[in-house]
Parts: sequence; structure tokens; C-alpha cells
Amino acid sequence: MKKGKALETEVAEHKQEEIAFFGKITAAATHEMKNVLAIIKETAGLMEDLVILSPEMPASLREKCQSTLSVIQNQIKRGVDISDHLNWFAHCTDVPTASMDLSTTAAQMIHLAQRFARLKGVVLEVEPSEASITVQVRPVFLLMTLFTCIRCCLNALSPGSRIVLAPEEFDTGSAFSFLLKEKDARPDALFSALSADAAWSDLQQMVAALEGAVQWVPDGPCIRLQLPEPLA
Amino acid sequence: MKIRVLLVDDEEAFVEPLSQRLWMRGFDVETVLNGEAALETIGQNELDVVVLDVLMPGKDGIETLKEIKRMRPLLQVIMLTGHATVETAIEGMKLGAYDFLMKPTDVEDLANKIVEAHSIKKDHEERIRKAEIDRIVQSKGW
Repeated sequence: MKKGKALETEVAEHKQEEIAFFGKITAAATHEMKNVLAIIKETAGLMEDLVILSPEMPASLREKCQSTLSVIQNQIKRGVDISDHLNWFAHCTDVPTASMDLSTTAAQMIHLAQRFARLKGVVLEVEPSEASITVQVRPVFLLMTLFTCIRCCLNALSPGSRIVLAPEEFDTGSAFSFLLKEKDARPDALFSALSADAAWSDLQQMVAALEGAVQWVPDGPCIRLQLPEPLA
Repeated sequence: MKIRVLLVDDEEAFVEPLSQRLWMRGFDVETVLNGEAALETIGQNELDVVVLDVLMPGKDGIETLKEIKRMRPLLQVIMLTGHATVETAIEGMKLGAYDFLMKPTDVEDLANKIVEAHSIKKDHEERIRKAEIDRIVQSKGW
């Protein structure tokens, strides 16, 4: 019977295999979704072409057809966008650790969490860094950490607020800063609401597991997730 | 003369409307649903540009591309790819593909790429023709 460290290692390996399997199937499904969207796009496009090439069609009907087809094309774009971000997310499970670009990660995370923000009436934005900042991390765990931080912010902020996710580089390492923009907000009240949230302690533990730290910056105000040293 | 295009993709529901849209834009389009059929068509017909899906059952896009370039080095190939296969498409460009486009494509982008690819082919053919004329002139001592 396996004991202690050996069992722990085996469990961790199985967990990684399970995550990788989930990612592989999801990535394949997003590929198929794109094929479906490509078929809908070309079929709707063909209908658009036929409408344009049909002079006998009454103008009012032509306009109605074109506006309907334009709704289809916009939804295809939306579907492709969702599929692309989901594909990126699924491929994060390919390897246990990877070098991740902070700006790309922030932009992808903002898209993936957009629905949660929309339901709370909060705007999620990204402010990409001009410099390329990379860290060697467990990709899925980093995304979970960012999402936990977004969840804390969404629970503390009122509708109409904005969260701006900005990767930053310091002499001591790199960080994700979550700038919180709420009308008439008082930083101390905001921090009280954040730290009272059940997910706040989870966030502290997750960032610690990444060998980083959570910092509250009242001047901003912002939450700064400090990460290990950037890679050269 | 119309630009002769071969569209290769295993999704018939994708190939059919796209081929009609390209035809409406003045291209002479043939369609096939796999790599083997593409090579057969290329062997029997004069074509200018092949639009080739990267991921297909049977002979995949890269294998088909290698064969195309062996059979007809001047025939231009545009690869079509989904997100999971961008690296494969880049490999394709290293093997001589003219360019690649992500699926779903914009038909106008594809039409422009086909025209560009055709102009490269024409340019190569013209240079080969001139070089052959020069060779004949030199060999005859004219």
C-alpha cells in the first residue's frame, strides 16, 4: 500500500492528467465549434451575395434580409471570439508549468470573466503592458488566482464600477494590479468589503502558493498580486 | 482568363457555399473533400491556386502540400486553419505554401489572397519563360 509522499505524488499526477484531459477535449470541441461557425458564416454570406444579386427583390424585403443576415454575421463574430478564448484557456492545461506573458494572460482572463462582470453590472478592462513580462507558473493555477481576485472585486464593488487589470513590472518582480474604479468610493470601506469576502482568504493562500503576495494599495485604490521574479 | 482555384476541405457544407461565393467573384472553382482527391485533380487539370484545409481525415494538409509542391512547384497554396493548427500552417509556409488564413475566413480576404497568389505564380512562370528564351537564344548563338 502506498503511503505519504508516493501517494501524494500519484494523486498530483492523476490530477494533472485529469486537467489535461479536460483541456484536450475542450480544445477539440472549440475546433469543431469553429468549423460549425465557418459553415454558418459562408452560408449566410452566400445568402447576402444572392440578395445583392437579386434586382427583382423589393427594396423593403432586401433591407430586412440584409439586416437579419448582419445579425447572424455579428453573432458569428461573437461565437468565434468566445471559441478562441476558450481554446486558449483549454491549451493552458497542456503542461503543468509554462512561461506566461502577463499582458496576454490579463487580456484572455478579462474575456473569460466578462460574463460574471456583466451579471454584476461591472465593467472589466485590461491595460496591457508595453514591455513583455513573463513568469514561469502553473497556468491553470494562475488563472484560478486571477479569477478569484476578480470574484472578490465583483462582490465588493457596486454596479457601474470598473475593474482595470494591468500587468506591471517592478525591480522586485512583476504583478497584476486590479485598479478599482467606483463612484464616490472610500478606499477603507472598499477594503473592508473586500477582506470580509469569503474568497479573500482563498486569494491570499493562492497567491502565496504562487510564491507571491497580495498587497492592498489605498492610493488608486488597487489590489496588487505580486508574482515571482520575471524571466529574462 | 479566370483564375483557376481548387478548394480542398472535408466539410462539404463549408466548401459548397464558399465555392459559390468565389465563383460569384469571378474565379473558376473546383472542390474536393480530401487530400487524395486534390492530388488526383491537380494531376489532371491546370490550376492556379489551391485553398487547402490543414486538418483533414486521411492525407492531411501538410502531406498534401508536400505532394502538391513535388508535382507542381509553381502551384500556389493557401492553407486554411482553425486555432489549434496555426503552428501547422506556419510549417506549411516553410514547405512552400503562399500564406494561411484562419477559419472562418472573410471571403474578400480569401479572394484577395487568391489574386496575390496567382500574381506570384504568373510572375514565376514569366521569369521561367524568359530564362528559357535566353537559354535558346544563347544556345543558337543568335
